[in-house]
Amino acid sequence: MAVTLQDIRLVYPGAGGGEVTVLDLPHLVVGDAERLCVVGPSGSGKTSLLHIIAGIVRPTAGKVLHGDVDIAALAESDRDRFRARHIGYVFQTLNLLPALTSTENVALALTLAGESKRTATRRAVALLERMGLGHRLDARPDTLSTGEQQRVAVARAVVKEPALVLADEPTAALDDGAAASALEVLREAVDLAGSALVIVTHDARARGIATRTLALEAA
Amino acid sequence: MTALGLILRNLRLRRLSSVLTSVGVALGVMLVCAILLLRADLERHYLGPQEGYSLVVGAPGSALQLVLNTIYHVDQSPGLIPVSVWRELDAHPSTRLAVPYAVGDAFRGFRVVATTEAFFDPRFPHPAAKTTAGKFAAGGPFAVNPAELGAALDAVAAGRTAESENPGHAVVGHDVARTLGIRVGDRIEPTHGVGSEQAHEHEQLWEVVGVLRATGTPIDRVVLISLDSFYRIPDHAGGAVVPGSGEPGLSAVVLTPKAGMHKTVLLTTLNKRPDIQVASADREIRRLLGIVGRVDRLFLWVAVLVVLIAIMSVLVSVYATMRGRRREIATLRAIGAPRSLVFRVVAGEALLLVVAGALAGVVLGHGLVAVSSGAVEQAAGFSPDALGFLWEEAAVLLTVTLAGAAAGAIPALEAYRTDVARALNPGGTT
Repeated sequence: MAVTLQDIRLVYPGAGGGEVTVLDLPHLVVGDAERLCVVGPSGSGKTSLLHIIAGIVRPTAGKVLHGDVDIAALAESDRDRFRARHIGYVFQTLNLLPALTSTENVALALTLAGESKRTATRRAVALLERMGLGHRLDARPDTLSTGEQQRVAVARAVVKEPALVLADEPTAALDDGAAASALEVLREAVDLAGSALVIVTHDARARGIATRTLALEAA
Repeated sequence: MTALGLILRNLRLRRLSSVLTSVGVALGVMLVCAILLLRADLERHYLGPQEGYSLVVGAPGSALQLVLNTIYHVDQSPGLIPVSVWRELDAHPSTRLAVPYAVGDAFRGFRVVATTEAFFDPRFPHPAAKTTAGKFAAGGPFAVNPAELGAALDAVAAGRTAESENPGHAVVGHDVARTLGIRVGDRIEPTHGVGSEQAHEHEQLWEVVGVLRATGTPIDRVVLISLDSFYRIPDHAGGAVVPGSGEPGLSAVVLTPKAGMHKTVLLTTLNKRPDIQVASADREIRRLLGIVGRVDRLFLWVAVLVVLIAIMSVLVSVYATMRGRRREIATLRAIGAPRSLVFRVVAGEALLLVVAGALAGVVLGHGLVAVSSGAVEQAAGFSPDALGFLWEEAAVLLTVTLAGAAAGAIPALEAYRTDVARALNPGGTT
């Protein structure tokens, strides 16, 4: 399911009654199973681009087509549902839910997508085992190493085999060795799930796993 | 994972603060329930038994003390009235039944009342029965021999101890028989005085001829002896006479007037006499409950305040943790959780803390009443029922639950409105 952005503009009210243009993107297509790396300086609208693609933020103007569905035109509850079913998300600070175990964190993505608890748990366990976390299934995030947390976060994003995975600075909090490993884990997981990937990063190594790079300028 | 699963796991993660927050609610609800239970038992104890009693005639003094001593067997008698007053009242045209009471003795912690067979008359309110036999669980009543009573009174009036070859007879209340294992045919030996430290033993025995049916009133905890035998006790030779007159005395007469205006007639005519007072049992007990009620209402308001503060602390606790969990909430939203789920999770945490605290509070309230029942019995003369459940407690549970839901709605609304993009990227760079 290709993602097509048409004439996207995101504008916020600025100080003194003016406007601040956060993003101005005439056209972007992310093809099936494509891995797009988005780079650019702070304030260039990289994270806003991810939020718009995910339906978290509605653009001021333009269309956000996932296949033929314009999620920018959907009601919020429909966007939530669409995101739960078709989009995986990896955050800069991983953002695992601290009260849940590794398995529960991963299974939650499936239950929000409509899977039964039993199926969700079975699939979460299978994926975590495949990613080498079989011995950490019942561990809570605060007892996991950073590398283990990274893998759980990636597992949560890909477990439902979404059409698209969005990754926002996934290596920002990691040292060099861990960052390289995390990018590799992400690439393998995305390939395994057959998902397209949009990765926003300052990390030049991320270009190594991308099939294409988009450079944004500060607006 | 359901909302409940997330709620339970979130509370488990912060188990110490969750437990402490719930304990606050539990303590408040415990106080409210304990006060409600004690108040209900107090009313049951003091309003129930006085039903059927009408007037109590005794020595001048506190009318409330007279009623408490005669009907509830607590406190001391205000003094003695001449036996002739009983005879006079018994013959009064407005009187339906006049039952004499002479008190001041005890048997192994249970108070002794000397009286006549009038106590077992079907017209006497407790135990309620259509016949005298119906008032008894075992055995039957004793009867006072008028000749023996006359001789005993003459002896006491002359300053001597009455004597008789016949043994004294006793009837015991239900609780006395059950607690002490007394049966018909047993012999008992009352001691003088109702405080154990003053007691010493009499030198004669009373034969138990009957055990009364359970009434749920203080009568269950009383030992009745025949009035004539009361005056045979050496300790009573001087102590059972009205000071100044030398006439044999009684503690009180329980008077049941005839129907119609006779109660008013007795009240107005007898209260003009300086040597006696007439107290209306109903009026005195309602006056007592009115006084006690003002105090327990104050306690109740304090307890309600404690509950309100505890619920506010739940609100503050959930609100504070929610503000620290904005990123967590935004994460939930970003992976597809709808706003309604976030609302339910945050509101549910507050609600669960309050409901768990309230339920624990009800149990603790009953536990507190059970633990304090001995002290309450000593202080107020009744043993509270810790196992009974009041509809007011259900109302407390419902109210506290609604208050908890309202308290949870505030942080839940804040969570509901969370700006996901801003919470995920608090630095603001895009």
